[in-house]
Amino acid sequence: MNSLGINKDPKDTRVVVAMSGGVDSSVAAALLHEQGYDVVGVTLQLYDMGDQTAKSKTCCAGQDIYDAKKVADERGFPHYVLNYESNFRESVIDDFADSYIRGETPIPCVKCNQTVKFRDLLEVAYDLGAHCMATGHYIKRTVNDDGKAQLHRAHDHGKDQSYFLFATTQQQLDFLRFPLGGWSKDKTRLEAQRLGLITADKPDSQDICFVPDGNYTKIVKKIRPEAEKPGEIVHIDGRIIGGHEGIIHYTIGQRRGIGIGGGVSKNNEPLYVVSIEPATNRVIVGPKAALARNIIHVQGCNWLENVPKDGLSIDLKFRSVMKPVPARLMGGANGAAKIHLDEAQYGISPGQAAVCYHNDRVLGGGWIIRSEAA
Amino acid sequence: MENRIYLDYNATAPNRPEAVKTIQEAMRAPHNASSVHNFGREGRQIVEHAREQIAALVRAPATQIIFNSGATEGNNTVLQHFKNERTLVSAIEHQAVLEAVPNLEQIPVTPEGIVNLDALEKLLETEKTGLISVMRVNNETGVIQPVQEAAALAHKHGALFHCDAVQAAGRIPINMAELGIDFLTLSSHKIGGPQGVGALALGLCGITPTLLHGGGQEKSARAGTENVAGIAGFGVAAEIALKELSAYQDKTGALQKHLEDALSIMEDIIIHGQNAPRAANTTLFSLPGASAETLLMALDLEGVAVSNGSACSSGKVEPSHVLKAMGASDEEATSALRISTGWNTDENDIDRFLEVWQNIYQRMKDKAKAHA
Repeated sequence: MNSLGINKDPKDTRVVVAMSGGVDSSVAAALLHEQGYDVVGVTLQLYDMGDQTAKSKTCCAGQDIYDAKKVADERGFPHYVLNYESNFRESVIDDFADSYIRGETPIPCVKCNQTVKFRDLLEVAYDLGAHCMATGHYIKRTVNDDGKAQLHRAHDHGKDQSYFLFATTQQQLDFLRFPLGGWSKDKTRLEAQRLGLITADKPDSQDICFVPDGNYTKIVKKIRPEAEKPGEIVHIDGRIIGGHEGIIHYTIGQRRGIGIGGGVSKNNEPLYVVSIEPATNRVIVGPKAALARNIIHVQGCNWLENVPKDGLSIDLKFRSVMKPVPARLMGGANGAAKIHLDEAQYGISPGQAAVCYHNDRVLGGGWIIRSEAA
Repeated sequence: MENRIYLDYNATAPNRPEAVKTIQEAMRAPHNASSVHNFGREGRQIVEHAREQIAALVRAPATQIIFNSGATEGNNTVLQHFKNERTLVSAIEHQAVLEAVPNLEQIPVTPEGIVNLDALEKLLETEKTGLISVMRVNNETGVIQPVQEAAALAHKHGALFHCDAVQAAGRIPINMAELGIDFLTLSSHKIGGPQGVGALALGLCGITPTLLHGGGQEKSARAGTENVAGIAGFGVAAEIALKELSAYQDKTGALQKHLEDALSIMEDIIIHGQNAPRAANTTLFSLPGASAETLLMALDLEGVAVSNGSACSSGKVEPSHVLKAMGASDEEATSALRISTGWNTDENDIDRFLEVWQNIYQRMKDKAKAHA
């Protein structure tokens, strides 16, 4: 077995590395190449620079494609650029806008991993005769004694990207490799310096790649100009207490920038967005207590583990940045599931993912469609 | 990489060693062909000798040959000249024609990729036309176009006729006068000469389309210091191409047959324009369901260089407009690979391609089966 778990000499093992042009995937590719693997770098062109507002600071833009190519050229392995603009637009950007219009808070990175990267690009890797595909994600993949691949949170929990990879299917996981899963970012940067990669000091991308300035609504308005419709802000007690410029400006759990002055609630308690109603174009606000939920309904689930009939005790994340909380997962039909939280939680938004763990192991998850207090 | 093989002559051909040698010699001295001094006169001689070599290739008088930077310039020069007149171009022209000026009207082609002459005649009957542009050999399919008939129709209706002969030069005989061509464009690097050189050959209509104005070179038809060394290489390549034309046709014809016999027995492969008259060096085929982009990469990883239709610098892969014009499905148009051979191709290259292709083809078939 070689270090990628394939029973071949590294030189006879073809591995496609998805290179974003950032430091992580550059290191993954250069290291595997250094270890003697038959590395093929691939970078996706996901959007036209003239078309979107994106600047070169984030992944998959013009400068990043150049950087990825440069790393490949300097290390001496082949590199290709695939134009996935139309796939990305259909599978990710349109969905992102539609999700906001439905009053949700989308996570386009999951959609991108789920479709463009692990469906379309994985197929290309297969078509190129690759034995596996590697990425620079911070997530760990292990193989059981029975040969089944598992996903685990990255060794460095601060960098862990497992939340964004919950939709990885078992079949995809069997083909995928994450060489940086056991690493810290510092180690990656040191390796990048040792290898002399031009991406060694490149800043991390923080934002959604096609919204680098963080202005989501600008993108949504550009794609769906009809999305910004003024409506009412309504208190949970039924009072209309103000107006808004479009539900796309609001996220469940949001407190700042609602645009309601004092005097609405008892003791001037802060107001939060409790729900967003696309049908009536209303934003419902209330005190923090009104956000409390202990049941989450999810659909479009992906499981890397069988969910028994009587349920499974799990640790749950319903946002990318949070500590997992204990819950019980109950499977349902047609890719649906219900999650009972041990303790009520706040700010659970449709469109986000509910990702289930057992300690560090990723069991899978689903898309939140609604939540309730029971 | 060892064992690299090149089957993309329609994109650019390897330089003929004789051309390289001539270019090297021509570059040894400072040759401004417009200069009066000895160095300049040497340069002039080189250019005029090459002009005769190019003229011979297209059976035109040497006086009618204007050197330029290549066929993109040549096509632009001609089409821009007619930009205020109605211009009809075949739907399968190269982008250097299709994008040269706005508002071109397209002449449809048959499913075999041949310009539809009936449709052309109907178009001509509707409105006065200034220029018709039909290529001699299509760069993607290799299909030979009925240029003589199209030119006759043009003249019958008072229009002039342009022919992009880039892929015809050195592949099939060209006789400008016999074909009735008023403007013919050529490129050096498709026949084993250097890149960045081409020619516009004028018929006898008396019009000299001119794009670049300045120093009066090429009898003021194309300003800019002559690319003496490049022109010298172009001339040599043209002379060899003409001399070897018949042997070249025999050889590439045999390679084409060998290749297509092998491809024909592979299930689901479609060879485009196979029943039309074609240049012997080109085979365009599709494997519906596959992505040409991926196939190209898979072949490249094995050291085999082919193309998906016409190469373009942006790296964007669009479905082949040629196949779309021929009525091919999207699946056919996005899965098409072009094999084009030339002066340095031999049977081993085709065998190596087939060996590599067989593996890739099998992988695609296995996947299709697994999905079914």
